[in-house]
Amino acid sequence: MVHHPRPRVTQPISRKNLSRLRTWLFSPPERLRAGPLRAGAFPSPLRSVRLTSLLGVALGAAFAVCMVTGVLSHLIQHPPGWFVWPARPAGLYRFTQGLHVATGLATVPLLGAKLWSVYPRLFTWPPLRGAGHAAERLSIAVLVAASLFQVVSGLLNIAHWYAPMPFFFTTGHYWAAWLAVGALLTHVGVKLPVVREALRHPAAGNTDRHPAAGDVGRRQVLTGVAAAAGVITVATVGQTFRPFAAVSVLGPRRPGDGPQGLPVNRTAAAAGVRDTATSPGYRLVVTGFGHTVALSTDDLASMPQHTAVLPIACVEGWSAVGTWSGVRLRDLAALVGADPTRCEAVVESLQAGGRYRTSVVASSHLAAGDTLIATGLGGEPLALDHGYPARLIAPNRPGVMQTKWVSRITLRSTR
Amino acid sequence: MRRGLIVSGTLIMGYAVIGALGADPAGMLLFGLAVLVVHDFVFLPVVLATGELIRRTVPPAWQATVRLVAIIDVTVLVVALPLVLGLGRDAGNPTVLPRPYTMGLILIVVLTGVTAALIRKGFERSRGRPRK
Repeated sequence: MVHHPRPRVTQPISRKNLSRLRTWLFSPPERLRAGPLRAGAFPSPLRSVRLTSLLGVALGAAFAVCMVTGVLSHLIQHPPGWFVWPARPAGLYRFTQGLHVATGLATVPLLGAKLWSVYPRLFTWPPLRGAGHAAERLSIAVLVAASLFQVVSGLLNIAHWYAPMPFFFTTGHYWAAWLAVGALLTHVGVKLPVVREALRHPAAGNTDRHPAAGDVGRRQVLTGVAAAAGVITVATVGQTFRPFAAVSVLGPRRPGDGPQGLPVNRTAAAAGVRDTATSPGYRLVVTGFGHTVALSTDDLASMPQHTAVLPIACVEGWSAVGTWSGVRLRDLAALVGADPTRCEAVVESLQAGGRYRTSVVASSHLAAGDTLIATGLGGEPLALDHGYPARLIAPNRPGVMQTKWVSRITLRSTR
Repeated sequence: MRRGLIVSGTLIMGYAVIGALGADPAGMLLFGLAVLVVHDFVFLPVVLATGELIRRTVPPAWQATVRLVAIIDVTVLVVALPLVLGLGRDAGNPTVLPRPYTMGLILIVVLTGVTAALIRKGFERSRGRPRK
């Protein structure tokens, strides 16, 4: 049987219909103005343009800190040719990443209060006044969504809860940060005159009939937000700032926990290296510039030993200091005749796969005397979960780049 | 300056969209929309309803203090929730989420409540005195 397609009847949208649609869209019938859309649906006298402006300035500063420290962490992990990250000060990354996470956490009450203060604007009437207004509202929706994306995904990441995020956290968090910053700059550009006016004239924009009441309400909200940020900081910062460890009851990590007093991010079992790492046949292969040497654990122990007190500083914001002992990476480089000031090392793990199986040690770190292939921690042989039989430990580097269960080191000229 | 901010902001947003397209745009879009909808149509209405409940049920002399505690506790709850649920725990790695977070949360709620009650008079007095 043959079907003959029926000719499709299309009705062109007439100019009249289009104009009717536009009229309906930009001045919708008043009967639709119900619930939160009706006038006076949000009577709280605590809201004011000045409060929103003050919260916005504080939130902008918090976003700036998170963006700078976040981009820095990204550059350290994915360095472009022009970027050089020094080995000194040894605890700088520990500080910047601790600041990144602490600021992100303190942003929770700031962002919450800011969005509460402008919530009535979500139900503004008419919802769209024209194409320009629609574009502005869309950019605000992007800003709000990207800001919430950053805060919520950051919280989920430090809680190791990845199931609700249908994307790879690091990449998603990175690109949403750019989206938030772009939308924020656009928003500041649009709102600048309103913010300037509200900050210059304290009474301007109070929604309450009595300016004094608006002033009191504003102080009340700002006190609450500052206190909340303070409580959250004290309750979590102990995961990197040891003096607060005892009172940080919401710290996702506790320095001092774990084998040899250091927390672990990826265990040997999770990495699938238990058998290979404990095998008597283990050899550390150092190769480059036409030479290759294979070292057993005894060979490593017979080389000059050094000790370094260095932190493991995780991208998740926690950190803990260890006393590491082992062989200088530059001494291993010398075995194949490499000049550490002119080359870099690719350090590979026994892990069969995974994003953090290898890391590159740039010459700035390779030449440093406290960059070790550590075999001991706290005076004991390295625990299996900390990278036995040998791991990389270098100053001023994210924990994900301190490769564990090292099996191969390739020296190559700096690109 | 305003034009510069708007143009550079738009360009950066474009850069972010191009970057996200090369990552996992569908997952990111889904998550972004989900947090936006949950925040705007579930979380904030609950916060507003709580504020209204405080306004209606708490004696005027205690309103500011109770609101202060509520602001602190609701934000602490947001931070604590993923830790209290503990779905990121790993049986093979006890160093992840090592603390009793429900107890920690209760402790903070109790401490903020007690502290606010103790300093209430000073706080209420200061809020009754407009600065200008």
